[in-house]
Amino acid sequence: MVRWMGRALLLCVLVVGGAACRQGTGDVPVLRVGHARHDHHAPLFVAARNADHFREHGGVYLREVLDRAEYELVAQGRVVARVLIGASTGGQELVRRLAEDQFDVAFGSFPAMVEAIDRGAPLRIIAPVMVGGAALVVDPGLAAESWDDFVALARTRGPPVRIGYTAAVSVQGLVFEEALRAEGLSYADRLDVPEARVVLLNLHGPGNLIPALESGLVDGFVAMQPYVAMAQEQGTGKLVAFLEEIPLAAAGPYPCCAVAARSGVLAAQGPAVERLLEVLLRATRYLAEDPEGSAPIVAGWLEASAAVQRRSLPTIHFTTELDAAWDQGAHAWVKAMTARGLLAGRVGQAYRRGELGDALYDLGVFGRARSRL
Amino acid sequence: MRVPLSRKVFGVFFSLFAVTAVMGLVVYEGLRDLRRAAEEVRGLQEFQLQVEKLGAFNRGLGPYRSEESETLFREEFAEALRLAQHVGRLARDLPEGLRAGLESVPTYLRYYRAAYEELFSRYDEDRRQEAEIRARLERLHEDLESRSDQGLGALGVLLRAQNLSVRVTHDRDLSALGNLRRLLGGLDDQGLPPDFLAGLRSLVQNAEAAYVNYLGILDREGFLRDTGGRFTQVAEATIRAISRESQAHQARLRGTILGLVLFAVLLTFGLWHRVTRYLGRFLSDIRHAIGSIRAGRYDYGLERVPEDEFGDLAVFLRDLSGNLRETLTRLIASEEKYKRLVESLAEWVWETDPEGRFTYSSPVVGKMLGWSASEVLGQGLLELLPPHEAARVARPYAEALRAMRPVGSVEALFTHWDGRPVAIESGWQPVYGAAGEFLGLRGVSRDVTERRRAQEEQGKLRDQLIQAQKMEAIGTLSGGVAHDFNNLLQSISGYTELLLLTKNEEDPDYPRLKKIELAADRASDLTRQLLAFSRRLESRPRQLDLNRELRHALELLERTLPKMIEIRASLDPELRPVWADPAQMEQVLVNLAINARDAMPTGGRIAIETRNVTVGPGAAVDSHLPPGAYVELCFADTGCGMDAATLEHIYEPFFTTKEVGKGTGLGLAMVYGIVKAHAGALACESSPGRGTTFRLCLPAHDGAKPLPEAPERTAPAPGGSETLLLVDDEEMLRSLGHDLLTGAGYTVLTAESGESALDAVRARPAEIDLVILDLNMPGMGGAECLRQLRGLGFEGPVLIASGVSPVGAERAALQEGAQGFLRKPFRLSSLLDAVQAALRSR
Repeated sequence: MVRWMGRALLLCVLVVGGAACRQGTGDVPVLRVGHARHDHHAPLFVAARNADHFREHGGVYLREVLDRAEYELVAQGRVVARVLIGASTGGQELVRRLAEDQFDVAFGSFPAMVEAIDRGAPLRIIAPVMVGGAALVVDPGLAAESWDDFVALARTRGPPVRIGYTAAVSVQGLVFEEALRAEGLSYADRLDVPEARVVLLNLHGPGNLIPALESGLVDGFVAMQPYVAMAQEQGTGKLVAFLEEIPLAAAGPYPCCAVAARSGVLAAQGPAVERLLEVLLRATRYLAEDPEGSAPIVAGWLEASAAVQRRSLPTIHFTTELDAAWDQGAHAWVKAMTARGLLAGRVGQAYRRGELGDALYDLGVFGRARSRL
Repeated sequence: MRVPLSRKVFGVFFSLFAVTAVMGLVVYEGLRDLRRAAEEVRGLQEFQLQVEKLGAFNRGLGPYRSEESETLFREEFAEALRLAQHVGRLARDLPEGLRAGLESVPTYLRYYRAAYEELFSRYDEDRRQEAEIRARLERLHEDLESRSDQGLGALGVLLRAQNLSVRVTHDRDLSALGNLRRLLGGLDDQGLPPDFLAGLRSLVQNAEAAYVNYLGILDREGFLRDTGGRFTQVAEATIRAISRESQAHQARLRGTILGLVLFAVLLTFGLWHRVTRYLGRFLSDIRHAIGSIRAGRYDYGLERVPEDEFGDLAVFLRDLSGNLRETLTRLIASEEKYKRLVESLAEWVWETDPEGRFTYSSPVVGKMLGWSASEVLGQGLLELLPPHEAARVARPYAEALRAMRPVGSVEALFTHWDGRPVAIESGWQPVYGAAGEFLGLRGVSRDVTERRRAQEEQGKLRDQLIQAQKMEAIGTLSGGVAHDFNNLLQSISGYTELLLLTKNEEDPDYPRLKKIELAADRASDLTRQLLAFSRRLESRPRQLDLNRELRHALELLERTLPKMIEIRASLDPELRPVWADPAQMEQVLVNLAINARDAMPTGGRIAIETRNVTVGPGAAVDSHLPPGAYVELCFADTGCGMDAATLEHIYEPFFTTKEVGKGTGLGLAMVYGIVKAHAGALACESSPGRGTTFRLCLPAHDGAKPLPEAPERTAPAPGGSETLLLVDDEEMLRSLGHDLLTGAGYTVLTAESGESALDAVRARPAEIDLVILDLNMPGMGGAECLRQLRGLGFEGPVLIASGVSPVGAERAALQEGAQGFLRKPFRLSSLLDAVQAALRSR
């Protein structure tokens, strides 16, 4: 009797111990990071592909497990997180997937993030990435070498000037529309509006930009890098003006891309997110300081031409500062989006209360990561 | 605090019940959660399936969809929305990420629907654009046909434009659109009609619009695809999450159950351990108590006595042991008492097992048989017996064992360790156990050797008594016969003597009267022998040295016995004197010698031995002998001996084994009577062929006074004138005495009895000078008469006349009051002498 009970006790101990051991695995958190395959999200590429540099500078780096897919986030020699990298089509889509818990941390367009937060998505912007980096490109045959030329052309040419953009809610599209309104140019999103001087065609993705320009479907496009540089490099298009150079568009450069994280992840995996953000900020700084050197890295990630990247990257203002300029640009975005009726929720209310920062950012994470730089 | 045992037991079982109940509740809750998870998974799977169906519709619907399919799609979408709302309600119990995804499903499903609506409108737009392009191409063809001035160049342009537009609208070839624009740009200087050119430009615009719309279709289709995929992802992720959660829940449930099981096991172990300790301690106390009791320690202590029924039991047991101690002490004392009692018994107490082997033996067996009690144990009763006794006792013993019945008494002759026989009388009874099983025998044996010897002695005494009574009867008979015969002889010889006084020797009657007198004398001798046998023969004892008398007798015997008979004498020189009649002693020796001679017709040896003996109780010669100093005469011959039947009759008068005429049969009878008359004892040991030994024991002399005897007659005494009272019951003797005494000059009064004599004395108290008194008379008898005569104051002499010698009280009385004894039959002279002597003694 006593032996049987002893065996039962041993079995219980083994089973419970085994269960405890299974529960003990997986101590390293997993961070799913989303991005789009364009230059605005280049800090992620640089951080992932320039691990040696960041190991030596700061001690926080991404150790490759599977190229462009899985990395280990190492901080001071210790793996603090597994990083799974996923790509999506664009800023709005990235934010949507972030809100839907398909990502934990994601790069994305600032306006899309604002709109999602406004709708109540559990997100917080944890770092700026870049401003600018978007431009108006037109068919090289058009007589528009500058913004003024473009405006003049639009006003004078019989048929309206067709300008393509990538998504319904894109930074570039919004800025361009603001600029058109500022110039007093009528515009429409349909071809059969004869009174419109500018037709804005949603080409539903950056991949259609250059083909549409080549086919003459559009006369130009407003888009982010590297499509501007690609069009230039291919001779398909010519640069008219970077959006921040358009004088009538807005005051200063608009915040374009940022890094956001789900609130739950920030609460549960705050230290890991901080370490990830730390290396991203270092990469951002790296890009800002050495775009030439970053070009091959980014080109390798995007499987694009290094020349394009050398042309593209210097035109992007990567930043690690939530400074006044960023804040001004952010307010301008919110103001514009509010004016267009896009922000009726939390952000809009915060904006009206003057508490925009609290609604949009998690400055604690950013501050701690920023302080380690 | 006292906690009853029932509460403790209840506590144990309630603890187990509580754990079981908790386990049951946990399992119930776990199963309910799992069922709920399964329902959630099923809901999600239904939603996922519905999304898949919408995707399928997405792939099936197009610009040329039917109304029915669109209606069906809307219905499916409504179902999807319902399921989405159901799925959204599941979100509240899910983790934050999944919850956000699920909660967004209805919202995005509305986006999804909006996208579909947009897609449908774009499909419609696409169809419209295609129709418009087709219509425009038809108009351009019609217009071209209507223009007879236009050659093949315009038609070629139209056909090319038609081809490019078809490539744009059907093949979605964006490069064709560029080519179309370039074709149109090159027609300005071709001289084509302006309407025709305007129609071509409109065609290009239609193609461009169719392509832009197509991009929108792509976008919406992509959105729908992505969103549908996302729905599927969310559903799958949720299912996975729910499954994970379910698995985790199962794991937790398993862990909880295992934990509870472990707890239950530990609790069971704990309870088991505690109960075991508790019961073990109790049992230990009980063992300790029993061990202590077994070891004889009744005052053991109890530690940690629980305050419950077990504790009560332990205390009760301790108290019980105390009582047991007292009882045992009393029992031991009782056992010791009874053991001492049993061991102090002269009887041998024993017990056997069912096979009859001794299991207990009281130590008296050592004294009884010479075996120690321990040596006896294990042996059978029969093993202690000599073989012949064992064979005799075996049967009743075996029957007693087999029948298991009590046996009252069995006597057996054992052999003592020192070899002497020991008569043991045993009785036993079966012993049964509590269950009625036969355990053996319990018996008591006693040494009856002395009793047996006493019984033998008693038998011997009884035989002797019978013999003595027989001899006494014979003696009495022969004495009576001799007495009566003496009276007759007295008359015969008296009257014969009177007649002879009147005759001279020449008288012819004189010889005849002499022969009558001789015959009367011989008859008187015969009666004397009879009287000697019956111890009525008057003797004249005196202190006597038996050795001297033996020497005289030996001289006589050596002369008279045949020479072939050797006589050996071994006489004790320190032999004590005896008080005996020497003549009778001589007669004894002569008679014994005659018998020895007759027993040794061919010669032999006679051994005579004397010695002093002291007789104690149970003397060998005669058990009736009073203890005291005796002289023993042993007379042994080596003759033919006698058998036991002969020995029984050798002292009887007239019993003889001799031939007719060789013996009277009165020899040994006279020896017997003489020895008895001398207060002695006589024993004979003989067996055929081994000779005969007579042992005579005579009391050593104790100084007793002899009875005065009548003076010896020397010559016939002269008569006298005194008055004599003759008392005799025999008329003939009274007459004879009257005649004799009257003839001698005396005045003779006669009385026929003692009473008459007393009357005569009372009547003439001063006249009677002498009383001649017969002893054996009817009525008061001579002795009593003498006593009463003295009582009347008669002081004259009394002469006792009797044929037998007085004995006992009679003799004592005569010694005190009589002046002389006259033995019948007497001669006249003897009578006159006795009368004269008595008168002189006045």
